[in-house]
Amino acid sequence: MDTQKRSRWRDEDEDPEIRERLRAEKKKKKKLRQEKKAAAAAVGSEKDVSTSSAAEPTTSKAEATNATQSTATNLDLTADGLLKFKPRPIQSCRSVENYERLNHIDEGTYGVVFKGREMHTNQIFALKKLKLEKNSQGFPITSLREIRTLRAIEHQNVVRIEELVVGGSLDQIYIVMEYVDHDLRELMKAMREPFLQSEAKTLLRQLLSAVAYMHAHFIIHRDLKTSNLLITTAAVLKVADFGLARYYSDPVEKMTPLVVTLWYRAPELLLGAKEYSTEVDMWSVGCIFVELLTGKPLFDGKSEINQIKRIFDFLGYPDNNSWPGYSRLPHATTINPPKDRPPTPSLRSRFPFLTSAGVDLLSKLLQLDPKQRISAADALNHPYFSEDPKPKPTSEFLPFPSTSETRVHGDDSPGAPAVVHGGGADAEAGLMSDDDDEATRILLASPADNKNGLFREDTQGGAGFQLRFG
Amino acid sequence: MTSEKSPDPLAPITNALATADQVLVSHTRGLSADLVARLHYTGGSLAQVSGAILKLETQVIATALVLFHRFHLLAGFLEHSIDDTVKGCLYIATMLCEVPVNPRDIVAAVEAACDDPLATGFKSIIRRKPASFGPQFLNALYKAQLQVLTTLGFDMHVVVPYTLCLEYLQAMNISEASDRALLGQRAWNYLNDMMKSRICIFQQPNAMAVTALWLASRETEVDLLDGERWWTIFDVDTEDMGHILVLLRESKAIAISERDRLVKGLEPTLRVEDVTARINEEATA
Ligand SMILES: Nc1ncnc2c1ncn2[C@@H]1O[C@H](COP(=O)(O)OP(=O)(O)OP(=O)(O)O)[C@@H](O)[C@H]1O
Ligand SMILES: [Mg+2]
Repeated sequence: MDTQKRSRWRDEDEDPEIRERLRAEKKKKKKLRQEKKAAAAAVGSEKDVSTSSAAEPTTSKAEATNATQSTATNLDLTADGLLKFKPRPIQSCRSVENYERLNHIDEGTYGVVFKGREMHTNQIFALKKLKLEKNSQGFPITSLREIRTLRAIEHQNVVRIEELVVGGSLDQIYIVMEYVDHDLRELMKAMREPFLQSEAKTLLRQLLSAVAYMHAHFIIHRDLKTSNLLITTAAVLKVADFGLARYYSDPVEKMTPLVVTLWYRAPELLLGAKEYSTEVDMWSVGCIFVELLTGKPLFDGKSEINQIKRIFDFLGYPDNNSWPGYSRLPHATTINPPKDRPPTPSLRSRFPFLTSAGVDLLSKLLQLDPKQRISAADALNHPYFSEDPKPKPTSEFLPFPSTSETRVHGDDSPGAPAVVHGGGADAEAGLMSDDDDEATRILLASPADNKNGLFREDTQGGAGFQLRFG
Repeated sequence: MTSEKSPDPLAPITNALATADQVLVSHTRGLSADLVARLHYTGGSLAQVSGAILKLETQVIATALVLFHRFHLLAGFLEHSIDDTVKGCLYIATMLCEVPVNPRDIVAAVEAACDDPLATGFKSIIRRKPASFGPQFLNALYKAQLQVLTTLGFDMHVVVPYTLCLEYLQAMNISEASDRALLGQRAWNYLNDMMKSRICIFQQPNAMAVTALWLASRETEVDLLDGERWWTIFDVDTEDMGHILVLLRESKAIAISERDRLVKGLEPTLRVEDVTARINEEATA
C-alpha cells in the first residue's frame, strides 16, 4: 500500500507540463475573475454590500448580518460559464443572549415556546427550547432529521426556522422560528362560531399547499393537528412542529397514546400498520377540514380503541373488499362491528351544508384505506376549490386579534392527557360523549350560508369575536 | 449525504466552506499553522481507522471527517481532545446516514484505533469489548456530539465526493471496463487521502472528485476525453484543482513525518495533553 501511495504522489509532484498548464490557466482565470468582479460591482450585489458595510454600529456585526440574511440567490455563473454556488459559511450557534425574552407563549408536550426580540435587528421571533433529557442517548436522531429537513425547506405555509441558539450550557438549545400570532386551536376556541365556508376553504387550501410541498419532498409531518397550525394576523396559515413532537423524547415506545393526541390519527396507524406513508397526513387534513367547518374536533376519542370505534361508527366498518388487506393489520381482529347496526349515514347526510364537491373531497380525505385516500396534490386541484363560495382572499379576512388578548393557554391542549380523559373546555362546550348521535352533533355547526361571518361582525355585536377565558 | 440517499433533496451538492478569516483565527489559538494541519491529519486518519474497524461505508466515514474538519476550524485542539471529537463526529455521521450504530461500539472502535491512528502497521490494534466502556465514556461521546452540533450551528448538510466522482467517471464514457474500474479505484484512494486533511473545508466536493479523477488518470495513463478541459463540464476550474493539489502535497509531507514519529516510538497526538506536549516540543526544537 505504501509503495502504491508513493507512486501516486510522485506523479503529480513532478509534472512540469501540468504545472505549466495550470499556471497558464490560472493567469487566464485571474483575468476572467477580475472582469467578473467588475461586472458584479456594477450590478451591486446585495450581499457584497452587507458584508462590506464596516460602519455598522453593533459590536457583533457579523452575527447580526448572518441572523437576518435569508436564502438569497447563492448561485453564480463564473465568467467562463461555470456554475458555482456561493458557499455557506461554517458558523457556530449564536447565544440565546442575542434575544430578549418577551413573554411565554405556550408549553407544548416537549418544549417551551416563548416570544423573543433579536436585539440587533429588533425582529420578533418565537423561540422553542428543546427539552433534552438528562441521561438520554445524546441528541436524538429524530431531532437531527427534523432540523436538517426544516432548514432545507422554504414554503409560504411552513413556519420558517431562523437559526438554532444555545444557552448557558450545552444542553440548552433553542430553535428560533418566525413568530406567528395564533395557532388554529387557540383561535377556534376564541371564536363563538366556526369559520365561514369561504374562510375554511382558504385555510384548507393553504394547509394542502404546505402538505403537498412536504410530500413532494418526502417529508411526512405525522402530527398535523390544529395546535400545530399557526395563523398570522393576515390569515396566512403556517404548518409548525414538523415531526418536532419527537424532538426530545426517546423512541416511540415512550410516547403513550395518552401523550400524543389520537384525534387526527389515521386508521391504519390505529390498527398498528408498520408501514405508513404520506396518507397519514391526508387523514389528519380530513379531520381538520371538518373541524374548520364545525368548530369541533371530528373524532375526539378517549383511547385508541375508542378512537377507531368512533371512526368506524362514523364511516362504516371496513372489510377486505372496501380495504384490501384490512384483516391482515395487527389490530384488525380486536375490532368487532357491533351487531344489528343501522346502516351508516352517508357523509352527504351528515354534512348537509356542504356542496357535493365538498362532500366528495371530504370523502376522499376520510378514506379508510390509505391507498384510496386522495393525495395533497390532487386535493388541491379538486373542484371544491373552484366552485362557489370561492376561497376568501386572505386580505379580506378581518384581522385576527393580537396574541396577548386571545392566547388561551394550554390547560386543555389535545395533546395533554387531561383532555383525553375528558373534561376541559371542549367537553363543556358540548362535545358529544361516546353514545351521542353523531347527526345531532353536526346540527351544532353553523349553516353554510351564514353571511355574517365571524370576521365581518363588529366585536361588540352578538355574532362577533368573543374571547373565552378559562 | 451521498446524493442518492439524501433525504434532503432541496439542498445543493455543495458544502459550507471556510473563509480566509476563519483560517487565520484558527491558527491563533496557541498553535502554529503547521501543527494545526498535522492535528487535522491525525484526526482524519483516526476517524478512517475507526470507521474501518466499525466496518462503516466510506461515505459515512467521510461525513464524519467533514464534520471533524469543520469543527476544528472553529474549535481549538487545546480545548477538545481529538479522540473524543472523532467519536462525536462518527456518532453524528451514523445518524445522518441512517446507519444506526451503538454508541458503545463507536467508543470501542475509536479507543482501539488510538493504538495505531495513522495506520503505520508498526503497532497492532487490539480490539476492545464495547461492554467494557462505562457511562463516563458514553457521556464524553454525547458531550462531544452536542459540542460538534452546536459549534457547527446544526448545519448538517454534508456532501461527500465519492458518489459524485463515480458519476463523473460514468459520464466520461470510457470504453474499456478494466480502465474504468482502475480509474475508479485510484480516484477513490485519492479521495481517501484528501479526506484526511482539511481540503473539504476549502473546496467543494465536485472539485475534489474531479481532481481525484485527474490524478487517477495521470497515474494510470488512461486518458479522459483526450486532453479536453473536461473538468469544466463539472463546473470545476484549474485554479480549484491546483489548490487541492497543493493541499494534498502538504498533506503528504505531514503524513510521512507523522508516521516517522510513530515508527520512532513517539506517542500519537490525540488528547489535549499530547497537543500541549507537541507545542513544548516545537518550542524547544
Ligand atoms: N413560531 C411560533 N410562533 C408562535 N407560536 C408558536 C410558534 N411555534 C409554536 N407556537 C406555539 O407553541 C405551541 C407548541 O409548539 P409546538 O407545537 O412546536 O411544540 P410541541 O412541544 O411539539 O407541542 P405539542 O407536542 O403539544 O404539539 C403551539 O401550539 C403554538 O401555540
Ligand atoms: Mg405541537
